[in-house]
Amino acid sequence: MRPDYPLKTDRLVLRPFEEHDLDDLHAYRSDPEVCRYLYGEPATLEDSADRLTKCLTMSELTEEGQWLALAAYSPEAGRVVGDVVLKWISEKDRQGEIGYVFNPEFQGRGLAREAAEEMLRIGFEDMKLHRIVAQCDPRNEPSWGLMERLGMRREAHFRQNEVFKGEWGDLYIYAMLDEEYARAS
Amino acid sequence: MRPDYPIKTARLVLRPFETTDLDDVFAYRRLEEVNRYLYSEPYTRAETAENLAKWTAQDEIIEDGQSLALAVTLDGRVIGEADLKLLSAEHRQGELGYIFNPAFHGQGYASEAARAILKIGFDELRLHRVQAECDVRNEPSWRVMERLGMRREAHFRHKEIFKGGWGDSFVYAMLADEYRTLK
Repeated sequence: MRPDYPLKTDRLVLRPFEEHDLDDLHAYRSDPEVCRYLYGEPATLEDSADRLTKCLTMSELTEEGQWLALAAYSPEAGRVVGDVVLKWISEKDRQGEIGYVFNPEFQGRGLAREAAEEMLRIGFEDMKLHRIVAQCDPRNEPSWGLMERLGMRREAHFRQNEVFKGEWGDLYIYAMLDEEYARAS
Repeated sequence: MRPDYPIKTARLVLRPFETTDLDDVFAYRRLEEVNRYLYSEPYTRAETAENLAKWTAQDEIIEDGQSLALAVTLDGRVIGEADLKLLSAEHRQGELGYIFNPAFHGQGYASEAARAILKIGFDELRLHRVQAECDVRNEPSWRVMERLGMRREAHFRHKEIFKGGWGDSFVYAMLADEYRTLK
């Protein structure tokens, strides 16, 4: 499955990453605030270049286990302001997962929501998934706040289920079913 | 980690499986009722023997993904089984499971055996968190989890196709310091 790029939302263009996106990508992936609740430390330029190289090949889904990774480009800002992902978790059970990381300069305007809604659309309408989940650290309120605004339901609060950056970490898992997506559309 | 067998509770003995347990295990593993919320279908005698041979080797845990599969006996008869799986040594996470012969339901045996499993998990394997999962329709199973003092952490809806329909599941969990206050 390969979406019909570029994907246009009201204010963004979602498209595969390109080599020249490196500076924009690195600008937020190197930010400690952005990385606080993500696995991994703030990116070095080399880390960002590695990530970009991987993302270049993540523009289509051919088998379960793969990720779609798209740049969220703002024509108004002339920059990539974040990235969004859709993981194909299970073909047999028709399950997927979305994720999003945005540059703090561009947060608070509903841009992540626009991009995430497009990923839900790809998952439910193009891939005919039955259930899509999203996960985050419970301390990452902006992230799960968005999951709630998207209409997802909190299905899990795992307490201390992993050691995260030197201390016990909890996990929220939110989910949406295709019938819920259809009702909301 | 290999527990000091046999493990004795007030009324039960938990020990590794033996091939001579075949009749007792087949007696419940063949039942529709027992398999309703398991991934397996009722076992034939041959399937029971085949699986039993595997379980006899599951008496110690060395790495992630391995389980202890213990026979639960009452007066020498296998009335069920109790499992402890190591999910992650790095994050010190494990998972509890149990299956009982319906003829022995309602006597608190599952709770008693599960408590012994929690003891192994927290005291011997030094786990930080032990979880247990079941189909939401399997009320006797999650009632055991609640009686043990575990907390419901998840209600997954339609996470997988289970025996021809969408399956919902509960995940219960207990932390090491919660276990300590139970004692």
